[in-house]
Amino acid sequence: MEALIGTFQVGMSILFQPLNFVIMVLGILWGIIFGAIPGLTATMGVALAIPITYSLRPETALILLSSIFVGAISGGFVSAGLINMPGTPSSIATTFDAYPMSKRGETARAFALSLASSFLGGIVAVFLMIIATYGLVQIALKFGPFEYFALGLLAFAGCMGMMEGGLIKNAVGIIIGLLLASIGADMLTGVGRLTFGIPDLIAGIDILPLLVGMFGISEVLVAIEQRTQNVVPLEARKTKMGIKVFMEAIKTILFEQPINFIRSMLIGFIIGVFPAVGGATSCVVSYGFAKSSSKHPEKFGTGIPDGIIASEVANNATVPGALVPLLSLGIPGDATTAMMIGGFMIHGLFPGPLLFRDTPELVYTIFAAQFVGTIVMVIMGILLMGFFIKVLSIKSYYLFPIITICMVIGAYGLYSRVLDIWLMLVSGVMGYLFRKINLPIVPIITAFVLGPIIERGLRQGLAYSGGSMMPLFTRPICVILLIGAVFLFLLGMYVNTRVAAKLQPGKAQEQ
Amino acid sequence: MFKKCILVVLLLSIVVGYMAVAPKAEAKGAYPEQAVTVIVPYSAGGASDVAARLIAEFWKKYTGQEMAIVNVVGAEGAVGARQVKGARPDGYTVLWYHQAILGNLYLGVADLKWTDFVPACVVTKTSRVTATRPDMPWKNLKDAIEDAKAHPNKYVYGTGAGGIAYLEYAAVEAAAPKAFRVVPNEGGDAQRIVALLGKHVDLIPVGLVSLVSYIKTNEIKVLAVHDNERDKFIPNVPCSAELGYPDLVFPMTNTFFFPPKTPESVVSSFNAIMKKIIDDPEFKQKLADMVYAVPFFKTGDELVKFWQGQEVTYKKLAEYVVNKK
Repeated sequence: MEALIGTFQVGMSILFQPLNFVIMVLGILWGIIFGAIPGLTATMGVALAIPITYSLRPETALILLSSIFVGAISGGFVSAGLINMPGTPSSIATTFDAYPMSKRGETARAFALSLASSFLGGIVAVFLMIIATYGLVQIALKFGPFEYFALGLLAFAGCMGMMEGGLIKNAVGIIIGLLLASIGADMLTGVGRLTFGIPDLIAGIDILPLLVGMFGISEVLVAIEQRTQNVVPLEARKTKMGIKVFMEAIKTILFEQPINFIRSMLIGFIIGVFPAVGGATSCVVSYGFAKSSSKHPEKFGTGIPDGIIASEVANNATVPGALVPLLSLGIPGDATTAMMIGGFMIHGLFPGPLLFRDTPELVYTIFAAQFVGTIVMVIMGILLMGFFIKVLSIKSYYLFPIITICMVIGAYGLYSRVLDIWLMLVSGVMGYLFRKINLPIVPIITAFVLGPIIERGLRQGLAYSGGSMMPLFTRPICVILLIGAVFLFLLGMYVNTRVAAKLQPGKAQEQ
Repeated sequence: MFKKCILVVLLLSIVVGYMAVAPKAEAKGAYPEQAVTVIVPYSAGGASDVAARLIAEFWKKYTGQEMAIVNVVGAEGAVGARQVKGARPDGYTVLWYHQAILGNLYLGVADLKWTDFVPACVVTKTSRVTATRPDMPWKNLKDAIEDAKAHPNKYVYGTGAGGIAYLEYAAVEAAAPKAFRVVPNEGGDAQRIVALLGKHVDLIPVGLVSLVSYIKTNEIKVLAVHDNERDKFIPNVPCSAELGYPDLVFPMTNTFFFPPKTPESVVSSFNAIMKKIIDDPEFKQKLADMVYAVPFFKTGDELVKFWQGQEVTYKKLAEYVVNKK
């Protein structure tokens, strides 16, 4: 209750200061553009904005970053519907039904459904986020070394099972990520590890250059190789979505498909809360469940509202979900929130149990930004639909050079280290090679982000217990987390084998 | 046409956005003829950074020139320090660093020495302290150490990983060998405070500035100030020297270091301006309010003597740590 009141009193009053509000609107716009263009993701949108936040006040900076996150995850449906390409990985499952619907000439309806789903999923999940964060903060101090270790294991279990790519490739990805994470000063003794004699590597590799390289630079390299150009169908370019179509879509979701809506929202939110598993997983899982529990599963993939709702509700509910572990435990819920940690750090803030205690107004502002941002996103989606469609047709030979320059400046801008630019370029080439051999990149990033947390947890825990692993099986929170890990792993295997198998034929036809 | 417009808008927004963060270009002239870049080797918002930004504010007041703060983070300050070591010795790049350079050197994190630079002046001093929860029975550090000696392995000491917190632990360990269980934590003050409040550790070394809000709400109590004298912000807390631990003396004194071969004339004009800032009552007040720091001004021989003294303390404790392994 306290958190809800705080959000709507303190958070809103900060959010509606003129500069903060303008920044939020720009953040949403920036986010939707990054979301709409395939190859540019929510994570990239946040990464490239971080250097800009240097000159902003902390609360303004975090408003910017979290509204980019909201905008980008929503913006993904534009290209999903128009050119059958997910604008962000979080819209993969949106393509299954939004594109066929749009192809039938019902582009406006597909967009209205996507936008309405994003809106409703996002807004309800904000309330869940406030309650969950507040609840977790109450017990967050009970999280000692062993609990963090168990939480890391849970994330890896989820990652192994859930990510596309299969068990072995995911495991290889996790190992690569852990190796990259162990570069730099040993966290407990300060001795350099794997620094190859490069003095500045003692500070370790930062997430921003690694992630921007792996996702961004590799995307540019792929684009150079394939020389593809997004072509938006002529008739779809003139799509106009009125308020009437949008209201109909809201009605469809709330009155015709309430169960689908609630289920997708919960799936999206819960997957968001689990560390390091993000929107790309949640939309596919939610789509899978919607299909397998539907009375007419054969219609999925032909352009029915059910599929769009399942995917878009889930991926937008993931956004607030992913912020829960970040704000309460200091552990990122997915790659984008891992990026946001950088935004906290450059302002001397440490996400974790103390954030809520020391700067509650900041946390409330982030909550408020999620809430208002979701509403602003809808308004902009309706008003500027034509603009976003045009953005999608920007020639890649304009776009990618600009983005590459931004990436270089962004990598340097975080800590003013030239080494970071090189790290980013090297990660880019690595990311490109991984794509060539179909090694999924997400597990690498997950392991890289959680590696230090899991290592610190284990080594501190052993120092604390005098070398015994027993506390891992006797401390109640640890036991719950370990059971959760097994459950998540099995769920992942189920989703990957059963549900994904059902998805595959439909997916193959579309391609 | 529309596409071109978008392109122009995009390019402009990028340029404008990044201009705000780009370091200023350099030119030549009498000191200070242009903006001075201060490399702060810690993140924005930390104690070092806040103090540097405060000095920058007054620098502008007295010189009319900007003082640009650039945060170059990593390896307990070694990354930023190395950058200044290789910078042009024209007086327009300066490092704002403290005793971590000694900790890094003697614990093998980095091979930078303070004598690699041209030290200009010490400017501020803040205390480091030992802290615990109010539910612990101790009144001061001596109580805690005696209690731990009587009950070995009962209490947990949450130290740092390398860095100054680790050397502070070394001083406690020297006074009471094998009395505490030790849990290292690399994340700095914030993580140690979390571990303390969560009852995962019982005793932590920490910067006073990180504790301010917890002391006010009585969530954390301070057992000793790591210095030869008490801290005026917490006058009731004994200092380690009076408790009988003369090795546990770790004041954090932020010092301006110029790159090697910076001319003496530049350093003395820089120091003259700093002296004016230090003497400004408004500066003193803000320094106390914002980072619980006091002005602590030393230049020339005094400065060298001070750092040499620090060197001896750090070396002694680091050798103790290394030999123990």
